[in-house]
Amino acid sequence: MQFTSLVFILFFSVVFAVYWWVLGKKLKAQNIFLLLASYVFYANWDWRFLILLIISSGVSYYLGLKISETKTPGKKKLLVNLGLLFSIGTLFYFKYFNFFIDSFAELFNIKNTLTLTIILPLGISFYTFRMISYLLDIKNNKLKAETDMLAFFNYIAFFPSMTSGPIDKAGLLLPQLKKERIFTLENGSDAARQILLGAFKKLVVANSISPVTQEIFQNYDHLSGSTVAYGMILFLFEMYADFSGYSDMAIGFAKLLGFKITKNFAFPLFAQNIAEYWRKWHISLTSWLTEYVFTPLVIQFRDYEKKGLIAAIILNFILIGAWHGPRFTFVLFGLLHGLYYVPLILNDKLNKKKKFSKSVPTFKELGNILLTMAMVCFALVLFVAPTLTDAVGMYGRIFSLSVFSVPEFMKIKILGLIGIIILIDWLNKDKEHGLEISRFKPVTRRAFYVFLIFMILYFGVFGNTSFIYEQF
Amino acid sequence: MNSSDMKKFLFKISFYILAVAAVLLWLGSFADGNTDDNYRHFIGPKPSNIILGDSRGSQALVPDVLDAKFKDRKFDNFSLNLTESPYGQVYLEAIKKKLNPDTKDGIFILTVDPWNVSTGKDVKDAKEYTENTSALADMHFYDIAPNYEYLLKHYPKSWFNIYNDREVIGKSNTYLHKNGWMEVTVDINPADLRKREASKIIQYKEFANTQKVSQDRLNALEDIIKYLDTKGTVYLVRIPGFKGVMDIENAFSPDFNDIIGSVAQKNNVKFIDFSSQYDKYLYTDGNHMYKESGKIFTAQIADSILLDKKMLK
Repeated sequence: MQFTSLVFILFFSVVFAVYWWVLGKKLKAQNIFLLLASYVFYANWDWRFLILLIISSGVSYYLGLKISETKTPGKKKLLVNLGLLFSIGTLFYFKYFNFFIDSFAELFNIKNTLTLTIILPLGISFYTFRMISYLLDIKNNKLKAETDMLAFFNYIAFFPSMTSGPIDKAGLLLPQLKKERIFTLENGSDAARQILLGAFKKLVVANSISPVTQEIFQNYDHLSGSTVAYGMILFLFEMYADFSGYSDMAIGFAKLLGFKITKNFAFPLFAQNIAEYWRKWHISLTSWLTEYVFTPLVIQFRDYEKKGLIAAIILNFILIGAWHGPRFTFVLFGLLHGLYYVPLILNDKLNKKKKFSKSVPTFKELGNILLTMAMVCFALVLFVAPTLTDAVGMYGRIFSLSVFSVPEFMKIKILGLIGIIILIDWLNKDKEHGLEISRFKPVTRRAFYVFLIFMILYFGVFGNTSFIYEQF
Repeated sequence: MNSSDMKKFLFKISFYILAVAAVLLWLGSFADGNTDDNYRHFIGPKPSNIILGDSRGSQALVPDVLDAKFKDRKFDNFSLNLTESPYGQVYLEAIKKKLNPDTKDGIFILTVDPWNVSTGKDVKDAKEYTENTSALADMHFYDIAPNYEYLLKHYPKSWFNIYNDREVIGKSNTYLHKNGWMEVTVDINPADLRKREASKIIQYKEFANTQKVSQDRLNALEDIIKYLDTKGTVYLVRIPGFKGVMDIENAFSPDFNDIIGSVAQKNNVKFIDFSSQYDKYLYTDGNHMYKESGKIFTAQIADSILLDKKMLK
């Protein structure tokens, strides 16, 4: 049941109607219904994994209470470790088990009989991170253990952000689950706008680019270096439109139910250095890792000053890469991004926030943006290449003389769509999301809605409803 | 909940929803034989005489020719393609929905080849069959026009394409007639033909390496025969391809005719095998019969059936 599918539209319409009209001000009934809706949503993918989700939620809930009750630090630590072992162990089993077994067997040339047929449960990387942060926050006294089981189970399974995030912190969502939600016209309209923008990004932009990038990546060894490089640029926009489009819709649907969830993108296409890019891209994951991995590592390595900081960043980024899946290329993707930080650290520019001086970027700002995006695209080779051999092959094409030829697959329609995305983002770069246009006159707003709706109806590609980040 | 805000919100949003719905309804009303390769299989009326199989059957058997030969009957070609309508339980359930429920004396032509009773070697069970994602697997309505259910579920492109590509502007090269016949119009000059045949050989050689004849599909074929046998007379027909494709087929399943022959014998139905007459027809790509050859081929099948019917009398 994808956000852009007819089934989801019907499902959400029913949920919305029952949630507000039938259950109205009955908070408990609303929460019971919300949990059931989340479970129906999840079971629609694969009911078997619903059991895993319920068990995982139960274990985290129980351990949370026990950690909170326990006074002895040793026992507290044991319970936290038990929770982490359970969460990470489950994630490891489903996501990484075969990778390690296969790699081990290959390394030592052993006949491998242990590889299992394991299907990755949808959203496991996202809900596992929610559980981990919950337990760690209790341990660190940032959060009280949740006694309301219904609220907690809802937090883990909340369907708008279930499959691909954002990874909400318990401190943000749990309080909202325990107080009356209010529907306001302002919120509803803003949610509808954000959903419309998300649908445009996914159905029109990402789905139009996707066949071209697939064609390029599958046949890279027969294509010119310029075409492969062009494919990487296109993929940057495809992934941005796909993932931020999904996030826009997730945030919009949550908002329609009266919830504010974590922002996941902040116009990363205008980042002027790599640190800024990661502060604006997949924010919920990077901020999660900053809090639970990077900061403890920095504290650990503080005696080594800049070298310690570099080590912490590189480790953090290797983890970001590995989070995407069990592939060496993902690890290298993370490592490369970590290395991109080195000049910033050495020049003390890590935390420098760059604001645009005017409504049009200066040449220097434009240069910074282009350089940052070029670095991102260069690293994307490691993201899209399924194996190291493919990555080497793609880099080989890019660094060949054929990079100076005119790329194939240049289509006016796609370039135009990319232009629209850039323009929308640029106009709203200081706002909460790309379609926060309440400042405009009603007639302008309506014209914009009609334009986007027309674009979806005319240029939409409706067959491919799955999102790139679902596989992670 | 602030009910006045909710009302205002719904009021505002309803204009957009209604406008979108109206545009879609209007665009959908232009759906025709140009829309895609399957749409017209789901707009009715429900037939009592039916042709089944894959894309070979969909192009080689022309219902108009059968209608002319069998004066009082109307045929419908319900063959889709290898991915969507190989013999299996999905196809059987779709046939049940497609067929006129009052059918008592129908004629059912089931076209067979080694591919539509095969599965991929790596397929473990029926859950992995390709047809599970086809329209046959999830369509409810088979006889409404315009069929918005089909368009919503299985038309992935913008609905403006339905309007822009409608048949009054010009027939598509792959035009699906109301009676289910897929009319393919391609240039059949010898040079182009040879190119397409060569490419088809490469494709089928690779394909044959990944396939195996499936007992499960053969069982489903029998189930379909048994179901249709209660509603009329079933004929199994093997459609040929050009020599290059037939050689691959015969190497892939040398005893295919024997297998189908025994299925026919077991179920007391007639098996008409045209595989040895491959050189009598023209093919668009070596695999699919050219439309004019298809008309001749269909007439020959009709004659065989008529002869059989006479003999039965």
